[in-house]
Order: sequence, then C-alpha cells, then structure tokens
Amino acid sequence: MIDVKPVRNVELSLWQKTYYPELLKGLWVTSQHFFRNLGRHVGRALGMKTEPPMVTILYPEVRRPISPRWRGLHRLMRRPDGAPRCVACMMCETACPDKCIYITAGESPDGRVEKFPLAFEIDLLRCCFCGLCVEACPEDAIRMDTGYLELAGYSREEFYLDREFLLRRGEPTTHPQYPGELDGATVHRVDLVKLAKGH
Amino acid sequence: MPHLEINGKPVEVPAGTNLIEAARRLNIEIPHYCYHPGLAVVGSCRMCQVEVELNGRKSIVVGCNTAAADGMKVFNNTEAIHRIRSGVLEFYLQHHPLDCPICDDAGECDLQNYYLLHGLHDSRVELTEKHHKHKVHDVGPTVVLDSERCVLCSRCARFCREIAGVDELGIFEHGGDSELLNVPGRLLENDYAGNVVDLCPVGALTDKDFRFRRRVWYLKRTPSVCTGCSRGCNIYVDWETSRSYKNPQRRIQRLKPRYNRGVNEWWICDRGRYGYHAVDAENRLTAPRTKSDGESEATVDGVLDRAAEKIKAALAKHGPKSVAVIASSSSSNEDLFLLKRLFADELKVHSLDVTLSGEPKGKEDEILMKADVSPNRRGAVEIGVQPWGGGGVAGDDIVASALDGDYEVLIVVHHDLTRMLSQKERNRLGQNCDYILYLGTHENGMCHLADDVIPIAMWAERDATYTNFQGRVQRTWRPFEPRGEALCEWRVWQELGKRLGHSLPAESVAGVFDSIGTVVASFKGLTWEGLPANGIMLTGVSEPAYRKVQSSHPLPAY
Repeated sequence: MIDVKPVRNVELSLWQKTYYPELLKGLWVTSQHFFRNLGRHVGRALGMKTEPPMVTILYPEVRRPISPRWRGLHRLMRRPDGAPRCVACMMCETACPDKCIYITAGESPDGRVEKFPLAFEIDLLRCCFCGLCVEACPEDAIRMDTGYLELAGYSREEFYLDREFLLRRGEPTTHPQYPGELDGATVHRVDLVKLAKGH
Repeated sequence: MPHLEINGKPVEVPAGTNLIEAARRLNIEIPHYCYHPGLAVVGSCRMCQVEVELNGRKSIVVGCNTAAADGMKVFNNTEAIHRIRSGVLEFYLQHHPLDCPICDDAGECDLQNYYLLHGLHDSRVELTEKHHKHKVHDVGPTVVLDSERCVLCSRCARFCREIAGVDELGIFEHGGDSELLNVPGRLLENDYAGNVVDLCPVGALTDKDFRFRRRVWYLKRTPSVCTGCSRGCNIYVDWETSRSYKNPQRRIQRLKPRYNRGVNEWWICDRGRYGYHAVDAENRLTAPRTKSDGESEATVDGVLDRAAEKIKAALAKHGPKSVAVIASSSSSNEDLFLLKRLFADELKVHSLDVTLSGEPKGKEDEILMKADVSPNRRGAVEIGVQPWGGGGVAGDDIVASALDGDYEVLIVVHHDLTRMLSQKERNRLGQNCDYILYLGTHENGMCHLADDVIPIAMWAERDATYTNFQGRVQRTWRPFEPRGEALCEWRVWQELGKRLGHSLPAESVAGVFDSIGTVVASFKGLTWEGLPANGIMLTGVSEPAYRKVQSSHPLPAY
C-alpha cells in the first residue's frame, strides 16, 4: 500500500509576495554570470590568461564529451565480414513501447545464419529513445551510441530510417563514433580562439 | 471408474485413462514431449514421470503409460519429481542450439516452457562442444526440419505411420547420433503433412508457409471452422493485422487444428491448412461493379436499387417464372435461409438451386478429406434451397433455360458459370438474360458477364454457421472486418427484401439463426447463444461413431 502524504503549500512571506524584489534578485544572479563570462571570453580572445578558464562551451564547434550510457541515433552493427549482425528475431520490435521499429524477416543468403532482416526501419519521430531495443537485442546488433544528437530535418520522410542508413554507421567497432558524421555532412569545426589570435 | 488423487485433489476417470489425461481433467499439466492423445504411447521422453503411491508403496512412473487405478495418489510437484525433470531437461538441452531468437517455435515451445518450470540450470556444455546435425533440412514441400532442435519424441514419425498411413519420417542412427530424417527415397508429402508441425513440441519442424512471417506472440487466435470441404474441420485462425508492413494484404497468418472428437480430432488436411490464402488473395472483389450506363462509380446501394427494380419489373411483366436463382452451398445457413425466405416464400420464385454438375470436386479419403468442396451442402438441403412447385427447374436446367432466354433476371451466387460454358454460350447467356446479378468473392469470368456484381465477405470475415456432411451445425467467429465494401451475403438478401417490400426476419446474424431454429424442422430448438464451440447435431441426427484412436486410452473430454 502506498501511504498518502499530505503536502501543504508553502506560505509566501510579505517580501516574496511583493514579487519585484525577488525578480530583481534572480536577474542579478544571471547578470553576474553573464558579465563575468563576457569579460573572460573577451580577455582570452585578446590573449589574456583568465582564471578560472571560461565555462561556456562553444557549440557546435566544441562539443561536450558524451557518457557511454548516453542514447541517441540508432545504428545497426555489422559482423567482421560486413553482414548485418541482426538476425531479425523481432525482440526489439516487440520491446519497443512506441512501435517505431519495423522489421521484415527473410531467409538469409548466408549459410551460417538462417534469418536476416530484409527490411529494418525505424520511425525516429515515434522513437522515445528509451533504449529498450538495445537492452532486448540478443545479438548486440542495435546500438544507440552514435553520439549524434542533432536530429533535425525538413520532412517526415527524413526521419524514416531504413536498413542501409542504419548499417552505414555500424562498422565492426566497439567504441562509439564521436562526434559523428552523418551521411557525409561533416561537422564544420572552427577554433574561434585561434581565429581571434590571428592564426 | 477408478477414483484417484492428484496433488491431493480427488478425481474420477474412466478405466484405462492414463495419468496425463486424468491430471488434465483437474487442469494440472504433467509435462510431456512424446505423448499425444491421438497417437500410440511410446513413453520415450521421460518428462512425464510422476510419483505414485498405491497400497502404501511409493514409486516413480511415467504418466503417459500408467493407467489410473483406484486409490492411487499421484504427486506432480514433489522435490524428487522436480529434480528428475530438471535432470531430463539437462540432457535434452545438452546439445540444443541457442536458436530461440530465430526459432519460429519460440513462445510456444515446450522446451522453453518446461525449462522455466523445472530447469533454470546453467549449461555445463561449452558452445563450441555442442554436436551439430542437419539444419534447414528440406523434408518435404511444406515442412523444414532442423535436426539440432529435435528432441526425438517421434510424434511426427508416429503421426505419419498411424494417422496418414505412410512411412515418411523416421529416427535413424543410435544414441547421441540419433536423428530424425526422411525415410530414404521419400519426402514428407502426404495430404496431412502440416500436422507434424503442430505435433512438434519444439521448433524442429517448421511450416514453410509461416516460417519467419510473424513471431507467435504477435498472433491473435479466433476459433473457426474450415470451409474447404463438407467435413468442416474445427480450426483456429491465427491472425495479425497491426503489422501490415510485413506483408500488406495478409491478415490470416496460419490455421491450426482445433480438437473436435466427432469431426477432425486433432488434425486438419493440408488443403484446408493452406487454403486460407484465398481470403487475402489479390483478386478478391472489394467493390461493386456495374455495366449500366450513366453511372461513373458503382455503389452497393445503387446496385441493390437496380436489382430490386429489375426483379420487380420482371415479376410484374412475366411472373415468378422469369426469375431464377443459382445459390451456393458455400454460403452459410443464414444466407441460404434468407435467400429461400425472400425468393421461394415471398416472391414465389420456383427455380432456385445450389447444385450444378460442373462444380469443382476435391480429393476424398478415409481420414478427413471429402470430395464435396462446399462446406454447407447439408445445410442447403435441410433449409430446402431447391426447385419447388410445378415450374421449378433444377441447377443445370436453370443454366440451360437461361441460355434459351427463359429468364429476365438471373441471380448467381459464388458459382463461376463461365467455367462451365463455351465462349459462344457465354455470349448467348449475356444476350438472352436481361439482367444478371452476381454475388462473389473473387475476380472471375462472372464478374465480366454479369450486369451487376456485389462483393461478399468470406468465411473468415463473418460470424456464420455451416452444417457439415454429418449434420453438425458449427459456427465461425469473425476475427476481422470484410475487405473493402464486401457485405455478408445474408445482408444482401435483407437489403434486397426491404427494397422489394418484404421485410425479412432479424437484423443480426444471431437473430437470423434463431429464426431458422423456429422455422426449419431439423434446426428446431437450436439457438445462436446455445451453439457449443464444437458444434451441435441437427435434431434427429445422431453423433457418428468415433474413430478408434491408436493410443487405446479413452479420449479426452475437453
């Protein structure tokens, strides 16, 4: 049984009820950070050694390291000979709470595995990135470790990923591909600091 | 009648009942692989061992080959039994491949089920040490064998010998090399080959038709009746429609036999098993068609309006002799009853019949298959869809008269007359009949010959009853809606009746069936609600004698 715990609303003091003093207090904290960082960036751009170093990450040129547990765009792994690891067992399709994985199984032309995916499609717009497909896979064939987080597109069709797309990043490696390349579109990387220094 | 106790629960069973069947009466499952109630007992799998106490003495026996005795105490859940079964399972799983993810039987596999009940041990065999046997081995046109998964229960081999009457599968070699294979020089190609897949307790024998199509846990199951011949075998329709991306048109995934002691026992023939493809075939009629001018798109209402008009005009001008109906014994009892009510009783049409000499015939044998491929001929006879009165003309004569131009309106259900007529005769029929209305399920010659075509629902798309050759009324359950604009046939007669000013009984299939029960003598007392799952004999018709089953144990009552 779950106990019922009565929670009472916090009573605001008169000072808090007047609203503006609290608002200004909040803005003061934000402005402090803003101007401090602005000063550091300008300083570093002019070659000064500011302490402590600046804390803003200059995304997308600079990226934060991603935890190995982080879940993003899927990929289908390959065997050392390049064949898909997937055996179309439908475990991920069954586990998927959004029903966004669509697999059609077929008789494999490769004699060593009986079953393989004729089609393996993921509707990324339905995906909630829960990772249950990765958990369910008995073959370590599907992973969500591409490190790719810029999931944007101009049409719904772009988010309908097919087998070839998913296999493209599934080289027989064990380390996550980070930061990713998505279909030849290289991430444009410029070092602003070096630029400012005139290098 | 011995009284015995199983797990402390008392039960009384007929003399000779074995312990597995006795336990089944209490809904207690004694695990087993080789035993099947329809086959001879071999007692080879050793999974069904139970502890038995009789006259103060305790022993371990196999449940399949031990007859229940008075005062017996059977224990299915003791520590010793659990240990024995765990040991037996470890032997079975010693060289069993780790195929579950790609095995079609996963989810309905007895190795999986019993391992979870009694095994749960870690394997003591390294993956690399496992024995290898034939994989993806073709044993026949419909079945694939995976020898590594086989537990050598011999059910399939016994089925072929005892039921199908042919030796096509056997177990060869000795000990650890034992392997299920084809009898040399023979393929598994008897008319009942598909049953070995149902019998296989593991994934060794899989059905090529179902292989890799769906995982079994996706399937939904609806009881039904096979309409492939006049036997009316009881079946389950395993269907799935939510994953249409796999094969878009296909809704039925497979058929499985449903036990009915009086009709088909545990089996169905392959003609019935794979006959379901017609339901989702590409040439299904899904929309009404018309030849009439000035109508860009045919609608069911439009076709019905025109048919009613034509019938009315013909009756007014030339009387009931100018209308003829060729009905079908593939239609259900309800369809035929309303058809007879409308045309014979209300409109006084004399020429109506279901039988044509040119109808397709099937193979007949002494096991299940009947030559008559229509599921409801007995029903048509009982309901009385036949020519009557002075001017009534029977089946073939209706066609002959129609060719001579005796009818203004000809209504044809299911029958493809064009297959029985020459090109010349077809043209003559089209010219001499003022109006031909065709009710059909598939694209055929009649669709082009007829003036109007109404698509109708097939057996898997409707609730209906059929009367098999024994006189047993059996019902089907509807798993999904008819394809496209297809209608149930009885609904067409009802709508037509309304337009002709004759209201027919009941707005639902249950109501129609109940009114058959009040009107037709042999259906007296039958009600839709009162229809048991395994059918009911017509009034005055007795149950046929049951076939003697090889196991010699009294048959289960479930």
